[in-house]
Amino acid sequence: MKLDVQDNDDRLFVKIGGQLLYSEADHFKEEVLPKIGQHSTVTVDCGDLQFIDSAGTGAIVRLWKECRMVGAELELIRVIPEVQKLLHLTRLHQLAKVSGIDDTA
Amino acid sequence: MAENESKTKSFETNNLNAVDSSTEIAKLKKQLEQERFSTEKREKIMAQSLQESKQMSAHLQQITQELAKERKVALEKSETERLLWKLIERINSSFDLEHILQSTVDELGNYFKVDRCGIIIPSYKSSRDLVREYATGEWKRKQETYSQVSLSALYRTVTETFKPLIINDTITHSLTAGHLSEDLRSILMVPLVQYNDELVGVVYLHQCRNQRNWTEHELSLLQAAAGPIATAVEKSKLFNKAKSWASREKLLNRLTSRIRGTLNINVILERTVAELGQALQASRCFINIIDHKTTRERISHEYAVNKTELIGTGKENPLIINKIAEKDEECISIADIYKEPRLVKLNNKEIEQLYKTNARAFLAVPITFQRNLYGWLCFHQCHVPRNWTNEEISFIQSAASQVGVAINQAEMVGQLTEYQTKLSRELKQAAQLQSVLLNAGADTNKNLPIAVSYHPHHNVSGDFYWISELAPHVVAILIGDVSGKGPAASLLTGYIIGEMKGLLENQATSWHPEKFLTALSDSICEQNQHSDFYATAWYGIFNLIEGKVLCSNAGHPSPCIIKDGNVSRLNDDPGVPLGLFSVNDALGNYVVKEFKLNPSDRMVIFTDGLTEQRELDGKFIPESWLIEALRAHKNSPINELPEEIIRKLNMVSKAAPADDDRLVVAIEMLETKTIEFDEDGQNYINEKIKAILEDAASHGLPKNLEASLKLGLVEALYNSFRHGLKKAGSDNDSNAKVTLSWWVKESAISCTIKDPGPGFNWQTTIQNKSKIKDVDILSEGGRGLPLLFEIFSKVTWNPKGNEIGLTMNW
Repeated sequence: MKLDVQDNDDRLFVKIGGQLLYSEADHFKEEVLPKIGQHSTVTVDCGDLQFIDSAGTGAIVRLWKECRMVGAELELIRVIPEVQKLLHLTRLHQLAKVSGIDDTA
Repeated sequence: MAENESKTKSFETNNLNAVDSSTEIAKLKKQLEQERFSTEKREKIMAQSLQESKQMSAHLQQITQELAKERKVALEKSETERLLWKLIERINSSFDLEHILQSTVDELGNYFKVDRCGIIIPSYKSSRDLVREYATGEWKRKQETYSQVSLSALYRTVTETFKPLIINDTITHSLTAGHLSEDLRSILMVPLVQYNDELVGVVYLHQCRNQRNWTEHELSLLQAAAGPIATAVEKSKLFNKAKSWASREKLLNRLTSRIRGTLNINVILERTVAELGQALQASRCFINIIDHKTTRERISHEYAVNKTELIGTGKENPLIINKIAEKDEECISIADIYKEPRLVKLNNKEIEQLYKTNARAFLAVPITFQRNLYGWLCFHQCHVPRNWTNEEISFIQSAASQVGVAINQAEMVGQLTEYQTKLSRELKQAAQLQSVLLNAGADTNKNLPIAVSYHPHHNVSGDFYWISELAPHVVAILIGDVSGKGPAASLLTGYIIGEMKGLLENQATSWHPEKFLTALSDSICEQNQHSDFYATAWYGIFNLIEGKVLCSNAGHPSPCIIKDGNVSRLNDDPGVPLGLFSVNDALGNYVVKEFKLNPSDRMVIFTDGLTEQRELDGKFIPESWLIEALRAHKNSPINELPEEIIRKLNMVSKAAPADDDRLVVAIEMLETKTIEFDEDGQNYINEKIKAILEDAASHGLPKNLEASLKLGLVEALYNSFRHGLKKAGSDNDSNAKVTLSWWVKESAISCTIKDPGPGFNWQTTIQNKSKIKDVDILSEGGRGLPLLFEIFSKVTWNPKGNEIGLTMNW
């Protein structure tokens, strides 16, 4: 998993690549959650995220919960169809704003 | 004599003229005296002769008269004989009485030179008189008129007295004076009497307008003619009787053979009433059927001659005349209702009902079978009386007896049909029940290519099979055959299925074929104390990953194994059939055999319906046919193999009907691949999954399913790492590994992932987590199992819960 977290004023920009699996889920949470702070928006760029499993979706749910606690909005952008399919299957699109890779292009 | 007298006178004259003397005179006187004397003598002689001649003449005259008289008698006799011969010849030349009578009256009429000559044969056929009349010119009468002669007082006089009636003048005769409307003057009527003094009719002569004195000769001639006429009537009656007897026998035979030939009671009875009605020339013939539940009678079938009104089929029609009969009377017959004294037993309403039918004569014969009264076979003769003869009654009784047989037969057929329908319905229900019972085990969608062909011989079958996944890569197959067929065998099958389910759920038996069969046998034996049923069975456990089968055989035909194209019978050491011995009997134990199976090896398990089939001629087909058939179809796809085998059996048996249930189960071993993951396995999990995906893709896995398969495998593997390997690692088992085995079959990939952990209670867990939509959206975990159910078409575990089996179909 490749992870790049950037703090842009009120927006936390997280760029994730590779796979978000059980083995990477804890690392993802450790890296991102503490940085949410007072941002009004947390944007996760999933353009390079190729694969995600149930543990990965669990990490997303955790991220959404943290955002909600600070009043931040979570958005997942540039999500590839395969990942988007799982997010829909697990109904995560009802929690976070999800947009596909084609939508942002 | 006149010539002699003239000669004498001439001599006397000559003598007086020529002689004068006295001597001469004396001489002459003397001569004269002599002459006188001689003459006197001659005269005397002549007188005597004349007297004699007269006497002779009188005698001759007397003789002549006698001769003439004799000649007249002879002539009359000859005339009589000639007439009689003529009549006899006619009689002998034909059996047609009507024709004989007509020609006889014509002959007699001409002979006697009368105005009419007629013959009356009363009640010749049924109640009809046969009357034939000869008449001349104006004295011809319509047939309707002379047909009524039998009703006349003259006719009755003759038939009552058996004596001839001679009326020379009807005007003066006491019987006819003032009674005759027509100009009939002289009547001669003679009875026709049979040899047994039975009256058969009368013959009569009528002289019209001019009075005629009947001579003795005419009377005797008519009496003589009466003999042959009576004979002709008797002969004709006998002939008709024989004919009628023959036709009734024929009818009875027809009725009997119809009853034997058809079970359609309606056809039988409909034809019976028509034919009996016609045979008896009755106005009506019908069958009154008694409803045993209500004791009501109704007409089931009816026949009526033209112009006779039908009473009405289906109409309720109590047999009124039954009330006038004595108890246990063999039949009820009324010759003429107007003269029936027993009618006093009926009330006015009942009599009125009888009159309504227009019947004068009634005949009712009971229809019985083995003392059961089914109804009545009834006949009506309308408008005219009729004496039902003993022959007719006897014939109808025979027919009624056959009708009784037919009705009884129909009742039995009805009961049998009802029973069959009920049985068939119950068998159908039993078959449905059996199908439901067996259905759970008939699912061939297992991690092993299995194909089944099942052809029950009856609705319910004694053959059964059960396929169960003991573990994702372990498939147990039970195949059995209960002795006997039909419902009883089916019930035992049901019992075995129930027992078997319990034994399959118990790992102590389900994983050990010999223990499984022993326990099953013991259970059947316990329940089978009072019957002689038993069952054969074969139980095998196929392990795909280890490539082996463990099996035990309880008296069942050994399966065939196809290895590298070679077909052989499995040497599985069959034991005794199930149910014969209990665990306490040493003989009841079974041995377990293990056979190695390579990828593509096949096993064909079957019941004895395949090996004990007969050809059309009854000979058993040698068992070798199966080996040959499997050899011939070794390259057939596994899912087609069982049906191919059945088809082949039909061919070798020359399409003989199946002797037994036919059940074939075919299994094909697959090539499995295995990867082991140790503690570091998570690091190369992607790489290994990639290899699996490539393998599946090479077997046709669609591109759009690759991500799902990957996700499923990742989820399952991480579960094993997380819950199995970690646990094992914490128990200091350094050799602990997660094993992933997979095999790709047509349109499907199956895999098993086994971890060294303690497993989990998957039965409880999946109750609430089998659907992703049921997972709390805010929950951070718990999506793994639901995702597996979402992705794979089948998710199974071993009982322990440390091995998961996943199958994806495409």
